[in-house]
Amino acid sequence: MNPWLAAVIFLLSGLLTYLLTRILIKVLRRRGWLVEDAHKPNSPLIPRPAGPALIISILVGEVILFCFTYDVRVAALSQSLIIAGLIGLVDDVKRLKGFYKPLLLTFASLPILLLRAYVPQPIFPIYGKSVRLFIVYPLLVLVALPVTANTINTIDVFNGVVSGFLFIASIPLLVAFALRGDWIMFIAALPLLASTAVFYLFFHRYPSKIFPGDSGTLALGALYGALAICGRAEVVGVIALLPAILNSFFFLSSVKKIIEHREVKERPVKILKDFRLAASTSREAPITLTRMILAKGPLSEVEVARAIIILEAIAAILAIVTAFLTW
Amino acid sequence: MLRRLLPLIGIIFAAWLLVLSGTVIIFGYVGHLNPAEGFVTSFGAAVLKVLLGALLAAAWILILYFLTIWYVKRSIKPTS
Repeated sequence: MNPWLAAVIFLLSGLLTYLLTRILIKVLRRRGWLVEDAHKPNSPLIPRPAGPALIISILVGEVILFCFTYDVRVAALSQSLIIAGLIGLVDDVKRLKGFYKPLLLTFASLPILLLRAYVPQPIFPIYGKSVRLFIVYPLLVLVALPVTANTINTIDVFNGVVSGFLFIASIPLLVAFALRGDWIMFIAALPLLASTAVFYLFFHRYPSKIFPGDSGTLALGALYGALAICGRAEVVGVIALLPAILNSFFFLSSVKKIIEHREVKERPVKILKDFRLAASTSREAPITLTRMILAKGPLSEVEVARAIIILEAIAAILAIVTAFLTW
Repeated sequence: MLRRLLPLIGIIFAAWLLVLSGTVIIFGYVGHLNPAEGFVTSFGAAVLKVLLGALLAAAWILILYFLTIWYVKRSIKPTS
């Protein structure tokens, strides 16, 4: 590994995230691209989306890495990031219906398939050996990126959650890449770590100064999936995303169809007069991770966000154990 | 906070164990199914493996579904 290259890419992605997001906040405010933060008194207007700043910051890091390595995997995951980001931008401007989004996001999987940036022999924990999945694996790749992108999208519910969640979730991937000595993928994951860390610390944690929007969440989610596939850390990636995957699972199993969260008639969570959040007691309300956290009584937005981050930290520990079991 | 999260941590832990055991069963046993040449084509064998894998995935989903329903019914008392 070239530690200087890793340091430059990490710092540059972080710095760019800081600078570009600051600029974007001003631009979005000037243009009136604001949305209500419904969980706070007086529902303040917050700029959205921060996706373009996040995508460019990460992309610069990946392009530098590609110039040094010419690794096709870096090219593929960069293209997946761009495609998912563009779909997210369309969704930010013109709301896409529940079913179209996952369908369109399959295009984000195409660079990985077309550039053959995958090995159809995933390595599984405990079992240890790689398994040949020449027919099934490309189909799984096609489905994987829409799933990770949408899963990350659905966890973007409160201030700081999605950025903090992805920052923690990227650590097991780094451990898995380091254990296998895949330093190119290790460095390729650093822009995600740097950008989410800076974005969380300076802009997205409570009270948020900007929201990532669908362009941010879909791009970051697709990038996460691409990193796990190209870096052969599929199972580690799945375990690290378990709280978000379970959130989608709870939602889909209770609603029983693919719809957007905003299309749901009965909200899973209600806001009390003191702006604490409480679980809906209606039978028609979908089950979500937040509703399950609130099942035992109301909490503030910060407390719910902290609870989700704690659950993610536990999933990350399990994912690191999985990385060692796969090693 | 941690006490409130314990059942959810339990569900995450159960999901983790299901993933680990599921992959061992699918790839340690189902993946090694190789019917004799001429009995079924390699495509048929692949389809069989996918079906068995899907069956395990369905069992995986059902276990998690019932765990979730159990927790929600125990914790939230419906009003409507």
